[in-house]
Amino acid sequence: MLAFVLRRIAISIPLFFLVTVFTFVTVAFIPGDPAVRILGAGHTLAVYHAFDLKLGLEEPVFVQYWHWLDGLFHGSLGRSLFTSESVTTELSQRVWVTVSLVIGASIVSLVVGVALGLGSALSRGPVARTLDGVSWLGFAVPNFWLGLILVEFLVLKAHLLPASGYVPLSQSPAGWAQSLVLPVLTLSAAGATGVAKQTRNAMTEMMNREFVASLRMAGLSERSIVIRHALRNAAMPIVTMAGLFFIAMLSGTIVVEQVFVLPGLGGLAVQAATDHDLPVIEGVVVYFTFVVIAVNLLIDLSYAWLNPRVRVGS
Amino acid sequence: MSERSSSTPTPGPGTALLEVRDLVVEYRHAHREHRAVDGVSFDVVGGETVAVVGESGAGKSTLGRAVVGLAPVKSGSIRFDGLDITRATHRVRCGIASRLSVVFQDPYSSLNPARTVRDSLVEPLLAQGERSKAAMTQQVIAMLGRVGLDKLAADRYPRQFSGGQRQRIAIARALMTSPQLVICDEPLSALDLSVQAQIINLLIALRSELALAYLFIGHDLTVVRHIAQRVLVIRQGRLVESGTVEKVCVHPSDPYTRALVDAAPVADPEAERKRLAARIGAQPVADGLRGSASGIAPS
Amino acid sequence: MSSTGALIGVDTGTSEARRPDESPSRQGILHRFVRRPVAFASFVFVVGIIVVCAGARWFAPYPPLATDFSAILTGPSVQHLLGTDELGRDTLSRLLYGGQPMLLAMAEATAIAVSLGTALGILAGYKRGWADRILSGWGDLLLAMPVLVILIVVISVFPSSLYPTMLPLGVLLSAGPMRVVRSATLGVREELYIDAARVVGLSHRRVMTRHVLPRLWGPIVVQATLVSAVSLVTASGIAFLGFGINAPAPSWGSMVADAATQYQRQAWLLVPSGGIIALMVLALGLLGDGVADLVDERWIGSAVARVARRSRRVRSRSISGARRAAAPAGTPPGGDGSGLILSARDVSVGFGDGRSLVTVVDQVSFDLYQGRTLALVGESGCGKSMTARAILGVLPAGGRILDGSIRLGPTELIGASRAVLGSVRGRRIGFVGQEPHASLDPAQTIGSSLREVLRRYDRTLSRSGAKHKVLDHLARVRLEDPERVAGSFPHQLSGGMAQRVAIARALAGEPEILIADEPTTALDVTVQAEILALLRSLQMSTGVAILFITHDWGVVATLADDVVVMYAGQVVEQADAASAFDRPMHPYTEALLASDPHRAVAGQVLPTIGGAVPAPGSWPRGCRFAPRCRYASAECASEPIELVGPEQDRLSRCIHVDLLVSCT
Repeated sequence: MLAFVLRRIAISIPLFFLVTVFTFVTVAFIPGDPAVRILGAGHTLAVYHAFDLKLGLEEPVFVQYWHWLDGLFHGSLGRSLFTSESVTTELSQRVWVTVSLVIGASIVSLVVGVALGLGSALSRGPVARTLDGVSWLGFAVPNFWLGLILVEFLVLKAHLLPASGYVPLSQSPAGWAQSLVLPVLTLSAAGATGVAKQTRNAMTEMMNREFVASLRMAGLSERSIVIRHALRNAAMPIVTMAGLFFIAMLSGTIVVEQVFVLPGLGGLAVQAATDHDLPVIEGVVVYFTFVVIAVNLLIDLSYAWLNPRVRVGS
Repeated sequence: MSERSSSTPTPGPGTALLEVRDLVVEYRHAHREHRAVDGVSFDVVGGETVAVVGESGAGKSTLGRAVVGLAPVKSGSIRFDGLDITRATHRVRCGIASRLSVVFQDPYSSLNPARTVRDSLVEPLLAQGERSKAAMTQQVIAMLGRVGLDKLAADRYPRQFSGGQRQRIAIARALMTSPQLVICDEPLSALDLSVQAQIINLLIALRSELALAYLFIGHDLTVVRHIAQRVLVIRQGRLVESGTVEKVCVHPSDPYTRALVDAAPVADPEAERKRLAARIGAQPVADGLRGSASGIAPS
Repeated sequence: MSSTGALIGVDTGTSEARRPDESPSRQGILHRFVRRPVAFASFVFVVGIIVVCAGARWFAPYPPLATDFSAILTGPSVQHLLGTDELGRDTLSRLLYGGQPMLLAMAEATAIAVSLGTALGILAGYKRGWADRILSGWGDLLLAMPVLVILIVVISVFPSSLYPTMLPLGVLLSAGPMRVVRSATLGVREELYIDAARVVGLSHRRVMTRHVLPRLWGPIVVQATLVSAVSLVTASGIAFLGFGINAPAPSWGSMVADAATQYQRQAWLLVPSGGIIALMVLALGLLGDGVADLVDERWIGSAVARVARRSRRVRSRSISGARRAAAPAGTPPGGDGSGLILSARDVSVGFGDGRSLVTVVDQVSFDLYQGRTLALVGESGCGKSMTARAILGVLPAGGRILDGSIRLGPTELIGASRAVLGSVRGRRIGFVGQEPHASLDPAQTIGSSLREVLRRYDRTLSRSGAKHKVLDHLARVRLEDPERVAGSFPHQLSGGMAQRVAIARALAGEPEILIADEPTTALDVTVQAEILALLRSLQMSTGVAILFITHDWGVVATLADDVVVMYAGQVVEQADAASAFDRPMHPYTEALLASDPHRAVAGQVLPTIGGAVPAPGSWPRGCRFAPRCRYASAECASEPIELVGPEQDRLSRCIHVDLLVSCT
């Protein structure tokens, strides 16, 4: 198992660099002079030139990348081209919003998805069909639209929850939770669907396996068979799917944060993209990639632990 | 292309159709090497049937697969009708494909379920460059008749047949190009006992009709007696005994062979009861924990 | 011993194995597709939307930018079917025009993802080895990328056009199709018919076109629908964020953003703008599902797939709806009833229901006695396995007990409540199956699974008590080093050891009966001998009754006291073991014994039984063995044959027993 884990970690490193290089190179090829964008039109050429020199924008791409890497190893992600604030400061203020959103959505997706999937796999007739139908809805509805609809009904019509805005946890836990309910629900719809479908398929397949019939014949209760045996064996593909959806949800935060006006990384990413603010874009990418790598590693670890062949070796 | 090596020993009458010398087949699995076949040598003479017998994981299937190029040969040599085919290129294999064919163990997997019987049977002809549809159809129908199936079978799909019938189709496919040697890789293992008898009879009848040689791979010594003239006993990739059927099955010299013969069930209640009582009285034996020799599942 | 003539039956290949309505060539793919309303409707919807959006110029009632300030933010009306927006522009027309960039983007991303994924997937699955490793790593890499983040980066370079962004999206999404195509290719690659094609001399290219590619189109189409759905949502998300589309040109995503700004004044706008995306995605998803089912069907066979699809839900195993037959007071053959533990009478088992009901076990009766072994003998498809499973009420999906009575002492098992069955399973009747590894939970250690079972039978058992008992049971089945075995997972054990473990579990509850369903068929012959000896010695020490199911007469000779022979769902003969071998009283038994290769005389042609076993569902009206029987007469085929007792303690379902006996 150790070898497996080490190998997975080893793969993560090139991934990290690949993504950051890609980002750097792509943004570097933006047409036009970034100085013009940032300082605005109407200045003399000399001013632009001085600005470029100051920020090292004159240098070739790979040199700029090297400088950036250097900064990274010293814990700094540079400064925003627009606001001149430290990128790390800006990001760390916002990262918790995104993190609470994604973790909340993942938990909801997992719990609701597994429950839906179990129910769908183990029941028959109208109940199962209803559950299937609900799953389909979750899959089809685009998250930005869902968010808006939820706002329309739960906020505007029923005045149950705030339409937008974020309340930090430190300020008021109840407010924090309230401000996150709708965004989390919106974000988790697609995830819950995917997990439900995977759970249902995996459970159905498990329940039809010979060892389940053997356990029944040995006299174990249906309940313990489902939970302790079938689910545990089905956990592997379910966990893998949940991980994939977690990563998809990271992307989803970008849109959801726009809809609910949450000051998270997503909003910053959109802003930075519009402004061509390279250090900030790069910084957001770094944060996201890091989270993705960490999550993948977690999934691989749990897979290795859940699968006896990997855990113990053959 | 087909030069005969002068140093090859030729046992007995008839030309050696297949000569295997010191064959070693190794598989790599998760950074470990497993020797499926460890230095096996034997000959098959034209028209004779040689059986390769052993338990699961012994390497007998791998042996058969190596002869037709489906397993990686590490060292040793395989010669077919004088031609060295140990690591033959595709072109060389094509050249001998019409004379060397295979019947596989699992009749449910050896025929493509989405193709008709006719499609499966013309494949050997297509590979040899045959183009005339009419000629091929004729041969298909003729061969179906030979194996005891009606010509209507040609347009059906494998799933519409029983296991025994599918094996007949597989045999028909193996014979389409009139081969000299047919490798039968446990062709009976997936069949019921009464169906096994049918297939054995079929193989024997075809052998005399078409002057075929068989390399018959199996695990059941008593069954193999009917079809083979010589028997090779394989254990963990090594040849432990070889000789005529009478010698090996009735007077085995190797203790492993003797154990195989002893364990083979005989449909005689009295004899079996005696054997059982003896076994119960003997010391308990535990099978080795898997993983001691290799980490690979049995073939 | 009489010898039967050697006959190689000439088969027409009809019906023996399957039912007649199954040949996919008869029903074209299109035909079967049309038969599925949901998938077909989805297909029509998708194509319809694509057509009307592509031809918006002709279908849209108004130009997309035409404003009408007299009709601002109206709801649906006759002039504006889907209402208007804040500038009086017709929503329906804008939706039609707005679909163009969305669908184009979707098409672009899908084309890239599917072609790239398919090519790489085939490469990885066919070549295997290092190519596979590299490509799988590449796929993992792709899946690990945060998609929208990458897209945001690209969008920032090309802010006003969606299409450049669809390129990296397509590449990122190619991971899905690649994975699926790879696994489908691998699946085909490992089939024996690929080996056969290579041996025969076909080149890789021909193998690919003949065998591999036809298998792939199904998964490819399904993946294409999935990728389309995802890329459509992604493209509309990007448009929603304000990228990629030049306002005021409409697009589905940007219309949602517009509607959001107006929802205080006119909530309706949100509905069509987002709804069209949702409907399109839903249709794509349902289409994909339908195609997936269709492909499954093609490879399994339509009738079987239909039953499988209906029983895709997991069925509860307790028997439902079986009529409880009044147990007739039949005298069991062989004894006065002393030591009688279990009595089965007229048990029938079937699959499906209504018109598609197929009976696989037809009124089978037998008795089990303490300390004795009853062998249930027959070939594949005769129903012996189903009979055994019916005793415990654990049948495969779609199966149920149709009739009959199974009495364990005073307790009736058929139709019994879940509580009753729960108290019987494991505690009074144990079961050992054919595949040792398949019967053990792969994620549970041996010790843990035995402990679980032991605790279930005896709730007062302490943890240490359970541990000791586990080791005792493992030692009882003659496993060396029980401690090590208890700590192992099933995949670490050999077949013989795993089977011993399965026997230990089956006997853990100290049951009165052990049902063994071909427990040695999958094992080597030396291991088989040990397992049989083990079973016999356990029987001698515990007095357990064994119901042993097998097709191997050698095994019957070793272990059985009594024999019941089954053919085509029925009992055809019942006798004690010695008599069954010496003087069979049914032509099938006689022929079966004669055609056993183990009994044949070397040098002589093997006797065989011509023809093949009739499959369930196509059983003839009269004697089911008559078509293959050398003693058959006209009366045999006309009426169903009853079981009669030609002698004391013997039963036979043959009207010509006298002919049979006189020939011996």
